[in-house]
Amino acid sequence: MDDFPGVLRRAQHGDEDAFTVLYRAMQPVLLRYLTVLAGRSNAEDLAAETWVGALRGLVKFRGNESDLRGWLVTIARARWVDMVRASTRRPEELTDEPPEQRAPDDVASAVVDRAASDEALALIARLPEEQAEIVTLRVVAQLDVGEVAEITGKTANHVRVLCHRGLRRLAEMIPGPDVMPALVTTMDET
Amino acid sequence: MSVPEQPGDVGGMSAGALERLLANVAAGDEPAPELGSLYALLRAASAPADAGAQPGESAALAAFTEAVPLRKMRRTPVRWLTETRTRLAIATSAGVLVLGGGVAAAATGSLPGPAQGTAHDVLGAIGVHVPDNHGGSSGPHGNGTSGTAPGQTGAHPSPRPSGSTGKPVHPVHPSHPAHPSTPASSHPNPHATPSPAHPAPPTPTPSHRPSPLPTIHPHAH
Repeated sequence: MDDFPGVLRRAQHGDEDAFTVLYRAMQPVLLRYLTVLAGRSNAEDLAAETWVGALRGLVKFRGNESDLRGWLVTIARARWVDMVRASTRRPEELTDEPPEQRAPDDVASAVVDRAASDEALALIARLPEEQAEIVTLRVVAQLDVGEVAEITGKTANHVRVLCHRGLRRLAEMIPGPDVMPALVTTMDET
Repeated sequence: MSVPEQPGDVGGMSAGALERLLANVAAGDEPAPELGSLYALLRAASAPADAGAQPGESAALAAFTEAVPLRKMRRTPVRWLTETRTRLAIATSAGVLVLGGGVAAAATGSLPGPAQGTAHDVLGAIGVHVPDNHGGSSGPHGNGTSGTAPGQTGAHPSPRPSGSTGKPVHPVHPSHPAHPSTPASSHPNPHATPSPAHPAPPTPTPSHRPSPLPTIHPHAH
């Protein structure tokens, strides 16, 4: 984003255009992250709740663009945790829809052929939850290991391991001659 | 919680290779060929969103307008300090000008009758000798006239030269008793001009440096 400090400062003073710039830069990251965690049907609602929470603290926020992304993701994660807890307490009211379940080969083919973002996210969402979250934070939110560790409450080493496991599993899910079957079968991640 | 490391040194899927892959994805650099499909998947997941409005944007903007009302950009501390100093300097200069002019006028007995009498009483109480409007003053340094001799009436507490004569005025004598009333002329000397006040002190930092604040460009992206 060009002139992030200026855009942030203007947004903190109520400039709607500046806020729109921030929103359009950050909202896709939030939606993708929340889609992987909670499914598409919940992502927009959780993102909206995230922004409501963020607006309360936006004026006092200090940091760069990556810091803002991490801060928003932290809020989004808290909203997701709240949703999961509420769903656990009231299982009869579950409205969350799991990510669209498709045959792995279909998903992987769609990713390779179309390179579509939503299809790639659907594939990532099929990973175990911890791996899916960390891969998303590292790849989609472009946060480093330390930031992801802080957000998820894990050690940096644990974040690395989970990320690598997730990536290897993703490679396993993608068919194609350029992914060596022998490599995939040697991974012991299950 | 500790998780054992994976035996990931096979076929380019080592931990180092995966970290390099993540860096490649972030930078858009082509990875090693054996990681091409995984790279494509991750690039797709992180591809830029469509330009333009994003889902929920209007609602978020409405919430923003309510939560963060428009307000002026705050001045930086340096700018605030500069402006404050400038205002203080101007106010001080104006005060000195008015006070100095008034005292000088009183010292020369050129104030209107009642004002001259008041000045005589007030300034006399603090030891500053000024002529009365009832015929002038004859303090210890006075000559009994209505202050027509510049430099002879100690009207200014400052040791600086007073008036256009450049002569030093008499220092203040705090123990000076109240001056007796003397016959006064009911008309101040129309030709007496108040001693010019001290020149305004130099403004500490009359800076007009541009503000470091960024200029608002409402449609900047």
